[in-house]
Parts: sequence; C-alpha cells; structure tokens
Amino acid sequence: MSGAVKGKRREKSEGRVLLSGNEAFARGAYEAGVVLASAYPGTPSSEILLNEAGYKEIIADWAANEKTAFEIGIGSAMAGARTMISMKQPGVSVCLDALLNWSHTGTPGGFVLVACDDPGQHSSQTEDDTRMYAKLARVPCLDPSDSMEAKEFVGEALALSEKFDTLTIVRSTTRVSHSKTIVDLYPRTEYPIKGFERNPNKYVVVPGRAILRETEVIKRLAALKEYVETSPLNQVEWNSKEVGVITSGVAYYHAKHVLPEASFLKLGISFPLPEKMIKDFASKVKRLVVIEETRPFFEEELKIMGIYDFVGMDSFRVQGELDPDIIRAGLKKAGVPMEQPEPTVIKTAEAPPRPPVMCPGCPHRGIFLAFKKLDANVFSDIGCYTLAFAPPINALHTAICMGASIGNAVGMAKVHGTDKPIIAALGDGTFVHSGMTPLYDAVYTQTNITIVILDNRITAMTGGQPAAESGFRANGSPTVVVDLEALVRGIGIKFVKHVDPYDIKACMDVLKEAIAFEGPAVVLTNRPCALMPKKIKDKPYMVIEDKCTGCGVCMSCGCPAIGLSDQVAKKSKKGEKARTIDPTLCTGCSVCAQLCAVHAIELMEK
Amino acid sequence: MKETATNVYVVGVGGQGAVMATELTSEVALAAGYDVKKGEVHGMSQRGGIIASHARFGKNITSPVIGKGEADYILAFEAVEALRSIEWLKPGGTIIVNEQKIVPPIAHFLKIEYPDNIKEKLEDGKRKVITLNAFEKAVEVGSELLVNTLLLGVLSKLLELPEKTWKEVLTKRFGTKMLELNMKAFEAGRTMKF
Ligand SMILES: Cc1ncc(C[n+]2csc(CCOP(=O)(O)OP(=O)(O)O)c2C)c(N)n1
Ligand code: SF4
Ligand code: SF4
Ligand code: SF4
Repeated sequence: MSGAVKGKRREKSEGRVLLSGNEAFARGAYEAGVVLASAYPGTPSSEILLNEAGYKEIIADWAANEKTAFEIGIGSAMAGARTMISMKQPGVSVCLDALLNWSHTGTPGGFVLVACDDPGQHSSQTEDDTRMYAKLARVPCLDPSDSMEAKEFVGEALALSEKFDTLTIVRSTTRVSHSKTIVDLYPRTEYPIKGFERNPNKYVVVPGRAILRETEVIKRLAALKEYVETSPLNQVEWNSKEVGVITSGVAYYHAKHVLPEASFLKLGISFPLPEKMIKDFASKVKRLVVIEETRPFFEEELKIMGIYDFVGMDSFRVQGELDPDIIRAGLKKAGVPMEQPEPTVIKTAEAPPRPPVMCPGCPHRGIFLAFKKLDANVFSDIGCYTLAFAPPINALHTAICMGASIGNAVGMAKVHGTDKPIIAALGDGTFVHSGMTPLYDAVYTQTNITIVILDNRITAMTGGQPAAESGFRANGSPTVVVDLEALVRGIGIKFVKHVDPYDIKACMDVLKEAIAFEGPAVVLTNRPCALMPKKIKDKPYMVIEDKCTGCGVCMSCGCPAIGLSDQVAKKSKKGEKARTIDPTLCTGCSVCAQLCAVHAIELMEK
Repeated sequence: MKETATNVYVVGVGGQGAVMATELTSEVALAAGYDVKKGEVHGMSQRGGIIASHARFGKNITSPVIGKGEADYILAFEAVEALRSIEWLKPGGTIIVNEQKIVPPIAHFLKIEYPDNIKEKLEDGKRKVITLNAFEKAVEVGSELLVNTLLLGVLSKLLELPEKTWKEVLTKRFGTKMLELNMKAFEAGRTMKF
C-alpha cells in the first residue's frame, strides 16, 4: 500500500477513501490547518483549489494570475496564517519574482506552494521541472508519489516551512495529481493566527537589508542539507543489491512495477538532496539506476557529488512522461537485469487521429471565421480559442504564453512587419491574467492594432473556473462582475465596440471599422461559453436534404455536430454525400448556416 | 482474494462516461478490500478528445499506469478507440467493444475514412473480442443515458468482484431518481450472453 511517511501516523483514521492527488492536496490543506488558499487555474492543478473551496474552514479563491495568487498568500502568511498556493508549473514562472523574494524574507506562517509539472505536455506549453525553481530559490521541494503522500506532504511542508523560516514547494506531476489512490483521512488541526508583527528588516527588501537576508538564506540551506539526511521523507528500501534505484514521485511506483526485486532510495524531498545518504546507497549496490521525471535533475546533482557511474535519463527518454514500458525498455538497453517477464504486445490495426475540437456552439468559432475572411494576422493567446490554429479554421497564427498576444501585436505593428491587418485576440481570462498591462503599452504608444477580447465570461480551457468577469467565486457565491469596457476605456482606449461572435457578417463589419481606426481599438464579444457554467442548448439547425449540394463548406467551421449523411446529396454534381446535423449536439448557434451558399441549413421547426 | 493485480483499461471519447466506469470499478475494489489505483489524464476531454482510463486492483498495486500488453480487460466505449487501445490487451485478455461510432470531426476534413469491420480487425485468435451495441440496448432498457451503466454491467460479470458490492456502490452513486433505471441497465449488461 501507500508508501507515505511510514509508521508515522498518530490518531485513528476517520476513514479510508480513494482520492485523486489534487483532492488529496486539498484534504492535506484542510487537515494541516490551512486558513487561506489561493490559486490560478491550469491543468493539471485546477482541482486543488476547487476542492479547498469545499471546506468551510479554508478561505479559497481564484486569483487574477499566479503572481497575485502568490502575493495574496504572502500577505496571509505574514499574518502567521497557514497558507497554500497552487498552480501549474508554467505559473511558477509567472510568480517567480515574488517567489524568489519571499524565499529571501522567510515566512512566519507556514507557506506551501503546490506546483504541478506536466511531463509529456498533456496540457501545457512547456515541459519544465519545478525542482529547478526550488534550487534557484534555495527552498525545499517535496515530491509525493501517490495521493496519501500528496495529503501528508502538505502537512510536512508546512511544518518544514515554519521550522526553517522558508516557503516550501510540493511538486506534483500530472499522474500524481490525476490518479486516484487510497488515502486515510484524519481530523483537522487548528493553528491560531498570530497576527502581523512589523519587522522591516525582514519584510522590506531594500538592498542594504536584503543582503543580510542573503546570509540567512545561505545558513538556512546548510541547515536544510543536514536535515534531509535524517528526514523520514527520504527512505531506503533494501532488497537485492544487484540493482539500486534512486527515484522520486510517481516514477518510484513505475520503477517498482518493473523492478520489484531491486533496492530503492526513494527521495520524498527532491531538493536539497541527502548527499551522505545517496553516496552510501550508491556504494552498496552493484548497478545504480536514476529514474526521474522530467529533467535530469538528480542526475546532475549526483554528478556534482562526484557520482558518475549510473544508468540515467538518456537510457529512458529525452522528453515526455515515464511509464513502466519506457523504464523496461531503458533498462534493457542499458543491460540492467530484470526478473519480471516482458509483456507481449500485439498490435492489429491503426486508428485515425482524434484531436480535440471546439465544442458545438462555441462562441469563438464565428469570429475566428471572420478573422479568416479578413485575412488578418492573428496574434493570439492561450485558451479554447487556440484550437483555431488547427484545421479546418486555421485562423490563428501565434500563441506564445499567457498574455503575449497584445504585446506581440504591438511589436509587430511597430516594425511594420506585415501589410495585413494586425489582430490581437485573447480570452477574458487571459486578458485579466496578463493582458491589461500590454494594453497599456498599446495605448501609450498609440499603436495601430485591433484587440479582440473573446469574453466568454469564464476560464473555459481549464474546466470553467470563474474569474473577475464571471460574477461568482470559487465556492459558487455571487460577487461583482468586472466591467471590461470600463476597464479598457480607463486605460485609454477610445474605440470600444461589442459584437455577437456568432454573427460572422457583423463581426467583419465591426472588425473593419476597428482596423481602420487610428490607434488601438478594442472589440469585445458577448456570448458565454456553450458549456460553462451552464450548458447552452437552443433549438437546433438542420440540413434541408433537397437543397444540399454536398459541397462541404459548412464543415469548414469545424463543428463536431455536422457529419456526413449516408445519402448522396440531391443537388450534388459529383455524387458527394449530403451533410447532416446531429440535433442532440447542435446548440443552434447558426454559424454553419451562415456559411451555406444555397441556404440549405435552417432552424429546425418543432 | 486474488493476489496479482487485475488491470482494467477503459477507453472512449470525452463525455461518454469512460472515467465513471473506472471510478465505480475502483470504488467496488476498494470496498472489497483491495489496494486500488485509478488514473487517466484529463484536460482536453471536454472537447471531444480521447479518454483512456486505467484501474488496477490487487493486493499491492505499484504503478497507476497499465503498460502495453498488460490489460486483463479493455472496455471500449467507441469502436475506433477500441482499435487504438488494443496494444494494451494481454494475450488471453478480453476486450468489450461498444460498436457505437463517433466519427472524429476532423476525419471528413482530412478525408480519412472511419474504419469498418472493427471486430475482424481486433481479432487475432489469441484474445477474446466481445461486441455489442450498447446504445441500442440502453434505449431498449429506457434511456440513451444508460450506455455506461450497461457497459459496466457487462464488465462486472467478468471481474472477480462481488455482485453485492457492485450493487452497494451503484446505490450510493445514483440518486433515488435514476437508481432504478441504472440498476436495470446494469442488470441487463450483466446478464447479456455473448
Ligand atoms: C501561466 C499559465 N497559467 C495557466 C495556464 C492554463 N490555462 C490555459 S488556457 C487558460 C485561460 C483560458 O481562459 P480564457 O483566455 O478566458 O479562454 P477560454 O478558454 O475561456 O476560451 C489557462 C488559465 C497556462 N497555460 N499558463
Ligand atoms: S468549453 Fe466553451 S469556450 Fe471552450 S471550446 Fe467549448 S464552448 Fe468553446
Ligand atoms: S454548405 Fe450547405 S450545401 Fe454545402 S454541404 Fe453544407 S449544407 Fe450542404
Ligand atoms: S448551428 Fe451549426 S455550427 Fe452551430 S452548433 Fe449547430 S451545427 Fe454546429
């Protein structure tokens, strides 16, 4: 069963349940007396805050972005309250400035950052490794391998944080966050909020004082290095000494699956590393193997320690997620003995690809078709609309990182990099996250670009979390709605128009006006996401068989509700099949109907 | 109680209920006293992407991931996804295929044909292939919304988990309103002959 901090547990369990890693992180926050939770959504981390919001003891809210989430956390921890922040790994880059300074100052209240890496990039723009940030910030990093550990490590991290006056990182990966494993539940322990105590030497990072903090950080790291040598989170499991594996996180379980007879050094703390423990382990086994996700972090640390003779990352993979198959193949290649038989894999046939697509009735579809018709260069961002880069829409040309669209468009316009209209298109969520500041740049330099805020009132891509434009908070309670028009006018935008994104012609008209306008112009769309928070379902459209020519143009909007009929289209010239619309999927958005030249798509009459 | 791990791999298209199937299987295994791990990667599922969910139970489960050639059972909610998953099935394993077709929207655009004769394509003489049209059967029972419980019924018959525990878990899962229909669908799946 679960390897979590063996033999450590005290009170009687309140029950034994299956939890995902993310549910377990939230439960860990509850049990460890966390008072404030702040997060920014991002797969695979989003369910953490969602679950924290379900505990009435925890004040849990979505923040505008990862940096504000982190800074809100600092405020709470400065009051001495136990605090948990969560985000996906790219978010750590967004809050890095705050993180590095908060490492310097130290924290009076327990402060844990749960950062979720995404090896294999199932849903992330980069495949980076949070352990690198821990090293950069010189703060401890814990690495749970299942849900039980996910829960327990939150409490361990908070205790470490308070003991060593440092923020602590718990690093998860997609598998740990999304897999469900058995968890024992314990009651909550309350920790009183001490209240804010002024201490400018600690909290004001002016250079003269900050340099004194640097000395403290160096001392703290030395103390941590000593601590990890005896921490119960780092465990040696002696077995056959033919093969010894150094590993952490879910890779531990993948490796155990393939090498049940081997000895293991399982690192629950992946930074700083227990040098003596590692050297001792390495000296006692015949073949040393290092198995880790995502970057060769342990590997490099081992080399710094002077250990070079081991089977490492280049045997397993250079990118992507680990699994038992990859580990087995790598061990085989490296000639490491394995007692378990290799499974027989039989393949019989190929399957066609099934990439994700925008939902039927998605409000992004129509306006992107308008961008396409205008042959604009579309500098975009990260959200559901990013799917418009792919066929059949193909109307999105860049997506660099959250909030990049407006800045990218400004830079392009300044150097006159294209004769085509320049459109920056981003979602409301992304605009709030990091689109407002570059809008200021566009105003300040009066750059001639069109900014389209695709306001679907929600952070859809990550599962429908509310934001400032949604009107409700993480626990579902109502709140004010931020007025985006007032906001952009306040920044100094003179051209602001609203448009129905389902109406392709109206979109083109408004966009043409905006493009012709001297200076930056903003267009706001006004249809909510078709799925969240409420599923939208109006009267569906249908294809009138007698009129359909089978030309297929309607399908160029990429709506999954449109399919091929079994019948040849009556008006077809070359025997093409007619198209049909699945009435259970169609939301009645009308976008495909606007594309059909022969008006063969009509509203279904009851 | 079986010592070695039983590996159940469930595949489908986002929204079909593949995750619910592994979820309930895992709950039943937990209640029956097994160690359990369940996992899938979700994120793109909402937008019609592929879902592959793993459930492993036994005395002591290590990796939450079922490797290729390791699944004892595959439950495929959709025909093409059955093809995509077949590498995971061990020799001697069983795949249950719902013959319902969900054509990838991009297929028309890329001029890719939806493969036919899926059953023949899956059969290799070493593994057992069970096919059914769960959609039609569910409609017969009472509603198209019952596809997943019906398929779960078919799967449950093959797994060494007590029927009583299945029913307890289902009762806990479905509110009183939907319980009766779901039980009927589960029973219909469980008693189907192949
Ligand atoms: C730094 C960072 N944080 C979080 C994410 C996860 N993420 C992907 S898209 C998105 C926002 C989507 O919201 P919006 O721009 O409103 O578009 P929608 O999906 O609603 O169309 C987020 C938070 C990310 N990719 N990068
Ligand atoms: S979830 Fe909403 S915004 Fe995203 S593709 Fe679907 S309808 Fe569009
Ligand atoms: S665009 Fe109109 S005529 Fe052409 S296939 Fe679609 S429904 Fe038929
Ligand atoms: S009207 Fe057309 S584009 Fe809109 S949801 Fe229905 S089928 Fe899809």
